[in-house]
Amino acid sequence: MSYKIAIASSDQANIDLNFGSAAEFLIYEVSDDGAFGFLERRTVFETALEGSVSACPDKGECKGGGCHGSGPANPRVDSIADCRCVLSKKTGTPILKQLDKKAISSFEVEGDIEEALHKITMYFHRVDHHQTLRGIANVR
Amino acid sequence: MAKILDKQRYKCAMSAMQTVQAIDRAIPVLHSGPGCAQKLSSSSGSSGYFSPNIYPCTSINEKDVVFGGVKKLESTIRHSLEVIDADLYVVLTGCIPEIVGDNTEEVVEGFRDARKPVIYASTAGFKGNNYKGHEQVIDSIIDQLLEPSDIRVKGLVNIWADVPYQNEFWHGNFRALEDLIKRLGLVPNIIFGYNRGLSSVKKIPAAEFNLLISPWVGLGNMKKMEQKLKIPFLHYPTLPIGAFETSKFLRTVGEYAGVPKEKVEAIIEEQEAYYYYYIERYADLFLETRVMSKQFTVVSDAHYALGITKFLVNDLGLFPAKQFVVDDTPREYREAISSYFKDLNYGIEASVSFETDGFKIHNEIKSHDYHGYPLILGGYWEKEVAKQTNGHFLNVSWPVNERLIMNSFYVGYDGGLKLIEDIYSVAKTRFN
Repeated sequence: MSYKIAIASSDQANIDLNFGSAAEFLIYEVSDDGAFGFLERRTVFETALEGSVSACPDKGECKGGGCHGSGPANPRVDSIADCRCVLSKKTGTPILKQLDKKAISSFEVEGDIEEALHKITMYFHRVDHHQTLRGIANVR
Repeated sequence: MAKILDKQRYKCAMSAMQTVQAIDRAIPVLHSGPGCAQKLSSSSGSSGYFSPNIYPCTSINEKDVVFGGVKKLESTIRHSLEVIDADLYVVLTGCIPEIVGDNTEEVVEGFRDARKPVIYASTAGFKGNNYKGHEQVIDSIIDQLLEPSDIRVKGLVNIWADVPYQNEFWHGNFRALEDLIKRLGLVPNIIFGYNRGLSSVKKIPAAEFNLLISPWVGLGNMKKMEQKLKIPFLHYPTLPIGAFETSKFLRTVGEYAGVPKEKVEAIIEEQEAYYYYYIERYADLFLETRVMSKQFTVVSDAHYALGITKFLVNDLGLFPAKQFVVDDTPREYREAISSYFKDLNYGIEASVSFETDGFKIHNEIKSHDYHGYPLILGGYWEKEVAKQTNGHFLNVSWPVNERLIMNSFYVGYDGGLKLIEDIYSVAKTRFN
């Protein structure tokens, strides 16, 4: 089955933004055979961002028990809810928890989009087809 | 039906972090997913200067599978060197980085000039259990830390025996072995336990010989040292428990090391007199404890199964039922180990089964006629089958629950008496 990947990028060529500072996500679609192509730019609406300057929704209720990603849903997370994973330079813990709840995996990686997509799609392809991951870290 | 769950008798190779921890001021640096040190949480006596909960770990995740975890490994080692005051850093790799192909060796090479030694051992769980992992760590020390020595210190002997923490008596046993070797006028060198550490590791190459007391664990290490460091080794397969085996042990080591025969015999005479003084004092106990078992079964790794079987037959006069070796002994050693079990006094032979399936073991125990109350020495799992067969049960091998072992030991003359104490302490709970 085909799936989508969201990318936090300011120049459409490199992954160079933190999750929380992305005003838009580039959405790529990956087909069954692992081939990927650019689908769309998805803007996170400014109005939706109002009042969520900090990614941490904590108002003192977590009492040091660790973050569970509780609090109001983050508009950025909502905007990529149909994606399988998101690539960004860095993602904060509360957001990671919210992504977890929607079964979206997060990859913190910098640099060339094509290169990263090549590796990720190969990884998902192997996982989906029950193929070995042996040596995958060294595949160029 | 597929076999999916069984009683755990050992852990994965990466539990060799216990072998590292047993070396004073050495710390494992884990290249693995988060939680790999958690498997040690049930182990006893592993807190202290370093404990499993503070082992540095790369905590690799999905991203590191896809893109490789070597950068994280490099920074984890670098920061460990900065913030942890240890003498030796041993990088241990788990399954994930070994599958995806992280080049740990190359990263560790980069720390060759660090102010403290950094070495690495490949301890992926799919490579075997923690007995193999233990061997891997010792191999790494030989390969990456030790160099052949021009100096040979007269009488210096490296002693290798129990796998630390897996054999819960390891600490006391090493001290007892050390004591026996000292009596022979030799200088023991052990790397594990109190007040030893890296200085003892560095002494290894200067030894006259290696002494391995173990049926199979460590044999590969001995061969490696013979080849690289030119240190010959004496392989003594049986853990010496009680007078018969300990005297034999002293004679064998004494002869090998060139200790005058009269000296060895004088030591044995003195020790046996002391040992049999106690046996004589308690002869009434042996004769009149009618509820004591006649036949016994040991369910343990080869090391303890062999040592205890020999003691119970040769010293205590019990008869062996089937013995079970549960350490997943590599096939190439099995025949030799089986033959050790056949070499018992009074022409008695013990049959041994290399079996890790707890269900099968317990069924065999239940179907055997012990001609009285069975005596079962094994892991905590055997408590249940001992109860079902109305037997006497003593927990001697991992997992050890409901009993605490700090520095007590079963090795030597005193160790034999201690094992008698433990067995009869169980037997005496029954109305005689």
